[in-house]
Amino acid sequence: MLAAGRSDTTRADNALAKFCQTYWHPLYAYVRRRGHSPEDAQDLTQGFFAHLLEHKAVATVSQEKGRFRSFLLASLNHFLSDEWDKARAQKRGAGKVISLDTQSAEAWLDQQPSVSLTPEKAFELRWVITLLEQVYRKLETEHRQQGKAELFDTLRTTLAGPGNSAPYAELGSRLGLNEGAVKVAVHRLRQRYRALLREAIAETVGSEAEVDEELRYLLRTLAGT
Amino acid sequence: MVTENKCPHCGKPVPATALQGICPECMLQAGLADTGEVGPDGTVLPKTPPPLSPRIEEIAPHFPQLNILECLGRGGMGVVYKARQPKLDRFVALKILTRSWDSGITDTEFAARFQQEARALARLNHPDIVAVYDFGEAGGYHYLLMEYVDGLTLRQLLQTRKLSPEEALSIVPKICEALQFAHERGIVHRDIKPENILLDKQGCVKIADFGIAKILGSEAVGGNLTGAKDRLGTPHYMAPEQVETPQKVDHRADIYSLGVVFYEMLTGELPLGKFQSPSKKVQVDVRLDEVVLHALEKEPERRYQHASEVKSDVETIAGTQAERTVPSGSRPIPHKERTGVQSIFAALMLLVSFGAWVLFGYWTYIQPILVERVIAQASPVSLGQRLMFQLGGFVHTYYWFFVPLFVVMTVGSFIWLMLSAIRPRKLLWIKEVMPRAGLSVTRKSTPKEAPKPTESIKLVSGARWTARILGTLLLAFYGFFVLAEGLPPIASQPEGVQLNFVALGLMLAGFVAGWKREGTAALLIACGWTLWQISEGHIKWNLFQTPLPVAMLYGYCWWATRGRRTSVVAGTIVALAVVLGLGQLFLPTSVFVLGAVVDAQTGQPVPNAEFRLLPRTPRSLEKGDLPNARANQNGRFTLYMGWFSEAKQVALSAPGYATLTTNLGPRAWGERNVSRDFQLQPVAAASVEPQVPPVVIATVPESGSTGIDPTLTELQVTFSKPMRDGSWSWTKWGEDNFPELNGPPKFLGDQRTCVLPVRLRPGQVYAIWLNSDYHQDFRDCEGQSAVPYLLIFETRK
Repeated sequence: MLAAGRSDTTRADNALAKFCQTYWHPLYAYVRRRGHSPEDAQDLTQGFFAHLLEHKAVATVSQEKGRFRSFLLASLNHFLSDEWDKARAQKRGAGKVISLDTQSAEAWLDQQPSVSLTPEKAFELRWVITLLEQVYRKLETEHRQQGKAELFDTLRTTLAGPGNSAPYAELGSRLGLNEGAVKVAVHRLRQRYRALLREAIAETVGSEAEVDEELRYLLRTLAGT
Repeated sequence: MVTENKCPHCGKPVPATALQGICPECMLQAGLADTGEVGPDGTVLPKTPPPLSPRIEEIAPHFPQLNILECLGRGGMGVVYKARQPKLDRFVALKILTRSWDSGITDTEFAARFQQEARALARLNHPDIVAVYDFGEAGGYHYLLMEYVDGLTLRQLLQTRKLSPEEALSIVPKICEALQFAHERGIVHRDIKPENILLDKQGCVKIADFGIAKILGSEAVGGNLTGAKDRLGTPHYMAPEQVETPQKVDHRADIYSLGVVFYEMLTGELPLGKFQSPSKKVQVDVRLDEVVLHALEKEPERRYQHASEVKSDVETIAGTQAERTVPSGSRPIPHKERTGVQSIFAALMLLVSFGAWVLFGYWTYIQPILVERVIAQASPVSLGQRLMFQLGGFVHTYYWFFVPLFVVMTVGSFIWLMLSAIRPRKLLWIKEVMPRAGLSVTRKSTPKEAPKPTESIKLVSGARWTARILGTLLLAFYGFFVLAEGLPPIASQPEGVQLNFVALGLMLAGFVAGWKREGTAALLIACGWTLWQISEGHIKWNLFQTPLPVAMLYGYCWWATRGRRTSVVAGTIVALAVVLGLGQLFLPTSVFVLGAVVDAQTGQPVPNAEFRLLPRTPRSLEKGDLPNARANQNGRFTLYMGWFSEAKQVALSAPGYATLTTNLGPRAWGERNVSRDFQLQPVAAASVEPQVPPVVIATVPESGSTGIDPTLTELQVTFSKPMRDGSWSWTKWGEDNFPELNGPPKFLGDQRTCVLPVRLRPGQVYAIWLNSDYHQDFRDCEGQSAVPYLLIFETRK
């Protein structure tokens, strides 16, 4: 993701747009929890992306600054407090960057306990889920492209660790595999999942070394709810 | 089975996400580490692993004897807490080990290994090693109770600032001591990295986490490398054999890791890929390069064999640095190690060769040829032209330039190297240099006799400077040569010549590159030299082979400072030799015709016959651009033909012979020196007779006569043989003594007498050249011009 900030070429713009598409959800959740209506929140999120694209604000992210997540939240905060009034007067409805599926976002927000969830928590929580969703989708796509859709559909619940799925023997009988083969398949699936997860996180942090730390932080975020 | 709303594992509600019912928390937890073994019946083993980074509240109940104060840090190995032992009133460090669940070790195995290793660690009692007070298992946590070090890790220090070389030199011996101590007791650290090197507030060095890697068994995984890497965090400090053959790891792996840490301390970077030696990146003693590179050898056998050896080398360097009270100013340290004698010697060498060049050049070429012959005749000469002449002259004296230079440089380099390598009492040359040059195999078989590196550092330095100076002089020489001679129209040159220039370009680039990148320089020069030989078509061991020793010297420097990859060097030499051999054999870049021109009838040699290469297409070249040769008195000649010589047209001509146009014809495969005899047919016998030029045999009036009648209306000149009509040269001798003309000259019917109508004046001297030095148009029918004749006479008053 830090590639999005490197230069103001079309490539960087594309990377930024891709990133917006990926991470709009946590930002939207945050804006909503700040008390804005769904319509305003949509405008604000769009406005924020437009602002990022216009000012190449991501270009100011250097690797030393660490996590992209914190940077985004800080930028959004800054945008909401200072820029929005100005931007609103000129840009309402204009400068749409991406299409937001606010329905699903609203559905998720509705599920959350409204009292205890601060805007920051909402953002972080949604961030983790978005990250996982992104990884999950990638994993799924990979398997489907390799013609292993059935395997993935059967074994996908094992991604949540042991105890979350039916016994391997049962999974095996569904797939027509013996138990040992299922174990190997599960192991491979998890390994690939872990690699993808680390990759996705690495895109949002400055260095490889920070991946573990970020992973733990995200886990605490989830566990805290 | 998965329910839609509650996670069967953690019991929390599962939110509606694109994950389709998978609990995000469990999924993320699973992403952090493989969370458990699956039993043979497909059920999850009852023992779930403890959380990876337990909070203080979670572990405190298991350690009633400790007040756990704060978490000091987390790493791949586990979590470290600061704690207090109230009874002893001291701080301790509590390390909770993180087990690798990937490693496939059973609990009993793990427990046994943990106990065995921890006991060994507890026996390691050394001031520079973090002491282990206690170990055990409590509440499912394996822990080590250790000495608490109040200070920083080397990593933290490196992150805050860059270490000075002196600091690095003071830290490394301590690490070596501690490692040596542990190694003697059979304990290998296996995970030396800046995070594990602690510096307390008194400045003492303490090494932490001895042998933890072995307890955790991350290396025992063998094939599962990713697992091992995940566990250890960064693999950059691991010795190659730790990655490739983890079972064979011994104490020398620590020495490698130490080398990495040392490199990082000096340069602030990791030695990744083809890394540069430390002295190239920062100003440090070049002798440290050798120490670091020796520690970083890929094969354990070639490395330092004991940590104590590293220590003594580092201390020697640190000691001698302190002895030399050279102020640490802007002067780079590498120069310091050259002694005064060597510096004077280098300067002297340069001076002598330059002086020799100038003097020889002036006496042999500039003065006699340029000044006396060229400049004296050409007038006027501008200052610029004069300078160009002089410059060109200097360059033309290359033989005189190179004889003294080459002799001085070669002898000088040798003496320099000897000075560098000889120690007062014994000749290290034989002992050190020969094995390094690959002339002996004893070193491999007895790895313990690893030589002290400092000697070869001097050697490398000597070789490096010799190569640089020689290379720069060659650069100047070739550069001047091209400058003064001017580049020929390369596109129109024969292929061999073009290849020659490519080769020259490579070598010049190599001479420049040598100041920064020795390996590149060696390769460039060697390739250039090889191409040069191919394009020349033969190897003449003359002074023009000087680039070769330069390439060899640079190659040696590269080899000695870049991990001694003998196989790479040998491979390159073999490859170039093969290319050279094949090029010599199959690439007909240069073909010389060594031939003789003989008279077809008599078989006698035809001297001064001209042998010329003809252009392949009419418009391609001017005649002068193509090489040509002239036969000597014996009719022999040598002509460079270039590529595709078989098809090239050549023309042979000599006076009195019909011009022969032919081509070289078939040539044996790879034959470069072609011998051919060419027979020229004499033209018609008459013209072969000695040719006598026409001479003036009579004039009217007679030359030298006086009292000539001024009413004479025409002058007549008669030649010895018939002359070509319409061609004459009546040339005035002076302004006032040429007659007024009364019509054009014309020949009479016999073609031997030419008549010039004139009007003469009385009492006048007339002088007329019939042909002169410059105008020779009185010619006979074959075109031979008549011998000049002065017609002079005086008219009557």
